[in-house]
Amino acid sequence: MKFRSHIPENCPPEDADVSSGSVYRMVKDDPSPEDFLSFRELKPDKAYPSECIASGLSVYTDAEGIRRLRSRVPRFRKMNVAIGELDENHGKMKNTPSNMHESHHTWWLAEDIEPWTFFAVVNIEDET
Amino acid sequence: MSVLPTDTFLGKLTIQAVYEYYDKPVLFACQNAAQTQYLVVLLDETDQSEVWLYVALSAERFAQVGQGKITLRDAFKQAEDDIVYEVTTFGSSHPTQIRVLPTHALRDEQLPAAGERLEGLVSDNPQVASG
Repeated sequence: MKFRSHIPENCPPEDADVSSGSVYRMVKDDPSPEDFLSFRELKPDKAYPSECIASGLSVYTDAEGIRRLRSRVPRFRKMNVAIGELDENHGKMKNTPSNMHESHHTWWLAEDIEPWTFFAVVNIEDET
Repeated sequence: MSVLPTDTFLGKLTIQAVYEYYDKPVLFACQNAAQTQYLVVLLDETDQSEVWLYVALSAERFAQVGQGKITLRDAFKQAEDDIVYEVTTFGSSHPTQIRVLPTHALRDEQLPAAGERLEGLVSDNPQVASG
């Protein structure tokens, strides 16, 4: 599988799985290409402890994780939540739980996919 | 860690714990070389800048926040020094801007939602970020 060109050698890690299942991600309005840029793509010159993690995207596999993120962090209350159904053609993902929620995953996107075409805004209050 | 400002009066900061992570740490604790601890949350961001809210916490209050005895909103809204710092960071070519805000001037939309609290975990998680 080929990944986006900014993803470094030896990444995704060997223990990453093929992407699958429903995942949630924040979007500014309707899903657009800008919503699916990694830290490394947005901040090419900034240092980061792990280049591999910096080249992936945060997604949550349950609505509660992203609801809590939105509730705790003011930045995200201005944003929408989108849901997308991933399959093995969309890249690889690994469970990278943040301290207090298990459903955080890092998703490394396959080359040439356009996730904004298969993510849609969802009302997570209906899902938690 | 790149989300931290450098060369400011906040000191030489290192991340101590990440509580929420989304492409980068967005709710975390950090500490400077003089051992002052700050709780930090992301308020806003654009292509050019990020705006963060910093509040200094005593060791005792930091422990209470970490144990969930004090809500995240109250950690900022009822800061021990009655002030918080609004920290705006830019690309490397532009210096960080810091505004001192009295806590009474904070609006609800600048704060974590009412009732949100940490739940007893205060250690960093090396899988997603470290200081």
